[in-house]
Amino acid sequence: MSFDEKEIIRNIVNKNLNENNKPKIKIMRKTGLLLLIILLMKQFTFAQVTITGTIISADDNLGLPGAAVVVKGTTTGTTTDIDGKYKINVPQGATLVFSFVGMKSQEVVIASQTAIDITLKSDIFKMDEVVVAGVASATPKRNLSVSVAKVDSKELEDVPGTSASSALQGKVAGVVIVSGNGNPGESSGIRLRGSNSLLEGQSPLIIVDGVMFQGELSDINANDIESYEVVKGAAASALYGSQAGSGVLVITTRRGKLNQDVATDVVIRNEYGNSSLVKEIQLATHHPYLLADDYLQQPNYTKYAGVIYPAGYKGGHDPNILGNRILDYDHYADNNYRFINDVQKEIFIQGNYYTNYVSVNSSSNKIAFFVSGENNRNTGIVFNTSGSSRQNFKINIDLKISDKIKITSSTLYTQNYIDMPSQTQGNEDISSGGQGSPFFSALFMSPDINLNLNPPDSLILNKYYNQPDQWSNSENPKHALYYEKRTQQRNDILQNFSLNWTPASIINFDVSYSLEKQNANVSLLQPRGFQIEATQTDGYEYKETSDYLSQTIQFTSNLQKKFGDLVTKGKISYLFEELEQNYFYGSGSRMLANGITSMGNLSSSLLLSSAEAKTISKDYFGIIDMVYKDKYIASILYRIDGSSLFGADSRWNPYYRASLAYKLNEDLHLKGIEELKLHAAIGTAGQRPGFYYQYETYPIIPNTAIINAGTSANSKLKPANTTETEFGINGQYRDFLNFDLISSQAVTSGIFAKKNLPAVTGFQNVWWNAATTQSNTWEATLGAQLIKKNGIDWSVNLTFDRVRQKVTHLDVPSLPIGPPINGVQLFTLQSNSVIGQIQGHDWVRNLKQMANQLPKDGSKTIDDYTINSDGYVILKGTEGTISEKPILLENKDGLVEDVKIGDFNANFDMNLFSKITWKNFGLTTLWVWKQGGNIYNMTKQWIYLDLQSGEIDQSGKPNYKKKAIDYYTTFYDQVHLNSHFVESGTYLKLREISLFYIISPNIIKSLGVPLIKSGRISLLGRNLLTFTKYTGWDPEVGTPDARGSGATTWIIDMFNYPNFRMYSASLELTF
Amino acid sequence: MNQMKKYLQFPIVVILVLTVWGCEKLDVQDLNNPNRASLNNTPQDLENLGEASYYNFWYNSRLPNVELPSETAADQFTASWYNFGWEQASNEPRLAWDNTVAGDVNNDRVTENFYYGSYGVITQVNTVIKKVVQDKIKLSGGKHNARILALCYLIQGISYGNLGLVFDKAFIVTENTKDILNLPAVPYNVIKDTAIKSLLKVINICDSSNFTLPGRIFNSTDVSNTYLKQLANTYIAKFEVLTCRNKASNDTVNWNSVLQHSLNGITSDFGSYFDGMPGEGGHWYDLNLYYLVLQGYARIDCRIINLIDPAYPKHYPSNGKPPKVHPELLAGQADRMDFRLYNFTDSIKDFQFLPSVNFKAERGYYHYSNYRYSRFDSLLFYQGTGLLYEFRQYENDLYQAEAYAMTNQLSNAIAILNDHKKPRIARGHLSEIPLSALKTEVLNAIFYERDIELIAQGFMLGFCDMRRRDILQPGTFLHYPIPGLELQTLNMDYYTFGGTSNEDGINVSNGGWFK
Repeated sequence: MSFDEKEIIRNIVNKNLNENNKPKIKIMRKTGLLLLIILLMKQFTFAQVTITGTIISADDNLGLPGAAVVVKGTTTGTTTDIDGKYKINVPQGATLVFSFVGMKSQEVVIASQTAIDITLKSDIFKMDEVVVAGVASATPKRNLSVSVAKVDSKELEDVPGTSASSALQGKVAGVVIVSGNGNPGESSGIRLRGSNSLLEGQSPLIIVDGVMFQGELSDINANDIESYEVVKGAAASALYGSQAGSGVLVITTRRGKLNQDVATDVVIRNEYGNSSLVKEIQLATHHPYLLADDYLQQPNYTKYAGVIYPAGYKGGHDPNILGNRILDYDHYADNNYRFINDVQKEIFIQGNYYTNYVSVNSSSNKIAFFVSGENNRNTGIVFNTSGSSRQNFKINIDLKISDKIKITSSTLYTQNYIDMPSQTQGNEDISSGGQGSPFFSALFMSPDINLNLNPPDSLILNKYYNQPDQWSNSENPKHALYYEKRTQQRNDILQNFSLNWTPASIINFDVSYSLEKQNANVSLLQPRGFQIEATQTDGYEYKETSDYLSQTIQFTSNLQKKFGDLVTKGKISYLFEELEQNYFYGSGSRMLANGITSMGNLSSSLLLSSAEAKTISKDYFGIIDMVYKDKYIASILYRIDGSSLFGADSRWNPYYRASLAYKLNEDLHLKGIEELKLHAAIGTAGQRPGFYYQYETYPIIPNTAIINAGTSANSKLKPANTTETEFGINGQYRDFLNFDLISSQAVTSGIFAKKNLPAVTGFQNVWWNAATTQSNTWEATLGAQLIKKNGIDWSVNLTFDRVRQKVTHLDVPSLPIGPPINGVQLFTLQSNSVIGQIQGHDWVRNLKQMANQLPKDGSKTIDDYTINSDGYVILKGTEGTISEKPILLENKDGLVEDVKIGDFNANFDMNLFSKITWKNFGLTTLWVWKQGGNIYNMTKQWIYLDLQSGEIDQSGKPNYKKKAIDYYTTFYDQVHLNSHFVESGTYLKLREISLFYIISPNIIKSLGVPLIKSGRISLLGRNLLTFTKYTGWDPEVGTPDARGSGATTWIIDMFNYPNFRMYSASLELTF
Repeated sequence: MNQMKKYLQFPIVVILVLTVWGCEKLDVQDLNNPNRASLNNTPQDLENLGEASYYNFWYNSRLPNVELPSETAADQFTASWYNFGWEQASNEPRLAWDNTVAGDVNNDRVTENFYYGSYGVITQVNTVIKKVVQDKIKLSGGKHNARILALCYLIQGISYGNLGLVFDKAFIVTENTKDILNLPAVPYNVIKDTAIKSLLKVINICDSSNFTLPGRIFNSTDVSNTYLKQLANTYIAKFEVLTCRNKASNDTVNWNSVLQHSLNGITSDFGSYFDGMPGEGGHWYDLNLYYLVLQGYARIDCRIINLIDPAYPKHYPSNGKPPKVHPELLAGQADRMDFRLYNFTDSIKDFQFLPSVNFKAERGYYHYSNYRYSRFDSLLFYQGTGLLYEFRQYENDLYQAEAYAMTNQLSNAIAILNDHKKPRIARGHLSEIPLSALKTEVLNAIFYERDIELIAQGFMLGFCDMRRRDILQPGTFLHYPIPGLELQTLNMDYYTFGGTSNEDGINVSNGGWFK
């Protein structure tokens, strides 16, 4: 829900109640009419005085433009002008509140003054900052009893994220954001604390300006974002019920401020930069085949012994080549190619990035609006693809109809057109990478292959011969990149309209209506003549469109009352949700007119299908937050959700929370300690089943007459339920140090899994509340202002988290899990499995293991084995020969089975944000350190198949260290997961760096530039430096699961579009 | 507090209004998938379900399944690729079939897909049969009861027949089964008997009613009750023969029964018209055949070429150097060779010579071959039209010939082989078999035809023919175990077949064609 400004003002009203206006409380106990009269009297009976003054920032002793001056307990107020000056009429005896974002507020009681100058100090650790997510109403961070972190625009502006998806990276403890690949337009995976779901993705519920957002965060620009509020864990997110088991991320965009003097700001920001691959994968430059004696005399290809080439042969597949390549006697990949091309240089190019952003922010007493537009282009780094082209349009309007009635509206329109690398398999999959991607085919190319070879004249398309290698089925990545068009276009409209009626200060009502209308189109076009392997097709087209319409209506009644020293705030609410989804796709082939995109151009029978789904939910909830003597804080809430997604016999499910906090220092009064708070909470939240889960289905295979039994019905299917308990302590020491330490344990029961049914039932499986998981999280945040003198201001913020997660109970024998790679989920879970553990084949690494699995025929003894130079057990005497083979580890029954071979979970994640400013200069850096956790390098495993991995290259090694290809290809192991390809995922990355210069109003003034108020020039870098032992492109890698999230859990490198580095410069001017 | 009460009236009213306004029930239907109730809504729905069962059967048998590794296990085709268990099934020496859940996944779920798919088909026809027989639902006013029942029993029969060819044991569930969750697994010969029982029901219905099943069901021509009866007889002959696991059991087949059923069998090919690959909007395709013949995938095993041209080695040379035999060298001798391999005058040729091999050398040159199966190229790759066979008349002819031979009626067997209209002479241009030929020679000629003319046509044909002659390479599994996933689901112990240390002639071959 978007409460922001009105909640802030309400909070100020609350403070009024809390602190020093007891006579007013008595008045409140009277009837509404009396209250009204007295309030009016209060308005008109006191003498008015005019106060003027200047608000100055303690940081630079300059006037603070836009600071708020509000009469406490009212909505009367103004803002300072460009020089920080203000003028306001106030009743005598009133209290003025001076505030500015990021500064500690001050209050002054008006006696006889007519001029008040105020110096506001930075609220470095933002204890005054209010949070609205997950609580009854706007609450300062110092008064929270649950974990809600906030990142505001100040922290985002130094290195604006390329989208809302990446902007939060590295800024909050317990938030894991992984950009699993660099495909422009693809959102990062987000996980808050542990995994509370197995098949449903880990993404939190995302709410943008009050709208439950289902689109792609990468479609939203980061410049518009005023704040992120991160509601971590079920205890905090219980307020959001059955959708919040994985936490909630509340995004609030900028908006104008009501109740202020007329003021208009125009901001124009332009950024331009370029992007490039960080590093290449080391590939083999030698092979194990016998060369023809005269191979050096052939300029165009590598001539092998025993092969007869047709006259004029220049490379590529040729049916007239006679004979086979023969392995050299030693099978060492140390023979030369005729020449070496750098395939990676052919595929990865230098891309560019730019963004043009303009916003207009206008405020007055009656109306405030914020309008912005953004045009963003991120081409990525892949040959002949134009990446993401995104436009955003935002308009937020706040209207004050009367002192009691306000209307707010938020509208966001986004569109993103993404031109993606080709992917001949799985064309409906929007992510990039995997088998069939250009990354796959590029890495499968021998280095002597000319990708720019033209095909024989007999083929229709005359560039980039798809079969440039006689000896492999590998396809030319440039053929598909050049001829295949694969795009996605997404449009999304988000709207929220709210009406607030405040009949009295103790109660107000909100009615809000939200809508999200989303449309996504995916298209793939292969022209006639397009080659798939050796086959020349006659054209193919695939189009898919999906629509999503979500509407919610919410009615909320907000209450607040003080009983002696007890301040209570609460709300009761009813939420109605309706969601409709429609999906349609068609495909066909045999193009009549080549390259024409109309599906009417396809002459073969079209494959068509569609799907539709509707979901209805009704939720009721109530919450009471209490503060006693500003020392003891408590919150209780209850919610009940009913949803059509729950089985017919389990339609309603309850959620609750209870939390307590004790502000210790209110009793201890420790010197220098400004805050010290202990807090504890327990709460529940859920995960809704997918649309189909409860139903008995006989799916119809599209356009066939097949109706096959699919899933059996489960009318008892309930939402998964996460119960979280958390304990924390936080505090602040002077203006120097701030810390936050939280431990949380979440137990999620009733997690959905497919339970296989015996074949004779006819049904394949049934969705079942089958699993229980447990996750434990430690997270810590440490903020410090290291230097603040002589104009130098250096502050740092360190975040740390450590997550452990496992399945404690599983009601099915094993559960396939993880991203589908070529349609297969490679991982399986059993009871007590760690979520994120890698299971696969292991190799015998010591003689003790070998002794347990000696051949049963007694042909060998343990003395026949030894350990080779790579640490694997082999047959003695085979080292360096073609008989040297690693041996798969067997179980006690002599079967090779999957065992734990690694763990994707990091030992810990740590992020260090540092900001140094001196005069108008500033330097910020964000370092990200992931310690431990493995990466499964399936990319490397696959390219072992065609001997392309650099590890197989034996050139330059002394002969006694060389190994035959037979040894290496054993590790390929039919692409079964095995321990040879488990690598350390540790890395340290300079994710963001920014060097900036603030063009202050004084400088503008001294330069005499008209119209411009202020500005900022920045040099920015993203992903500039990475320290790692990982041998792939980038250790920040992950493959999303079927639900499009999970790149945070499944750290699998499967030819993913590599993350790239980016340099840019930006200029921001405020008019 | 009165004031509070007053204000609280407001939210209560609003919530009531909203609740009424949003009074849609929480019951939402899935409009994308039918369920049992909706499928049985009307007799027409039930009839549609019955008609659709043939495509369901077709689809299940044409998706990549056990057919693919069986082709390399039987050295009909060869591939060094791991896809579909190809390499695993044809590794030398032979390995045990990896029946773990993970192993099946690695092998592209070839056993799992076929096993579960078969029961999907069986459930579908059981549902229809039960409704029509027990609930006495009248299809098209009763007019179509016989034809739908006959079709459903046929599919029930051939589904069980195929399960009996593939697995060592399986479960039997029919329209009469009451307690489906406590069924015992029964051995393959009991499965075969069940299949034949269902096929006999088809014959009974066809004998007692006249009907026509519309061609749309098969993407082919209309099927009359007479033809359906022939088809049932043909399948009975097939299952009686091909279910044998070894030569000993092959010798004890009731060959008179086989003869009788094949004599009553089909007199024209039964199949469906290919209408494009899945990506092209096609429905009637055969992915098993497609992957066997697609350029760059599998090739024809040297064993097959050697049957035609003894100059071509049975085994690829172990040094990887190509054999010095290729069409050019034999151009002058073409008239002496089987036209299906060497033919320079028309397009009959079934095998394409490829001068080089790009298989994985390190996985063994024994996987290499210079030939691929090109018979269906014009159909599959050049937008041709034609039948994808489910059952060729020639297969039935050859059961008949074999039954004659096994019952010592050699002249009748020879007459079939020497029929100039049949492929041996019509396509292969081979010389007639003399009437003096011995039984072994006649049987060899029959199996030659089955290997050459029927290769990659007819479910599991090549594999079953090899196992019933004890000539699968030693260590080759003779059947597949119940898939690992089902074992896991039913809490049954893991087991598998194959491997050179397990040769018993019952589950694992102890014979071989090349030692």
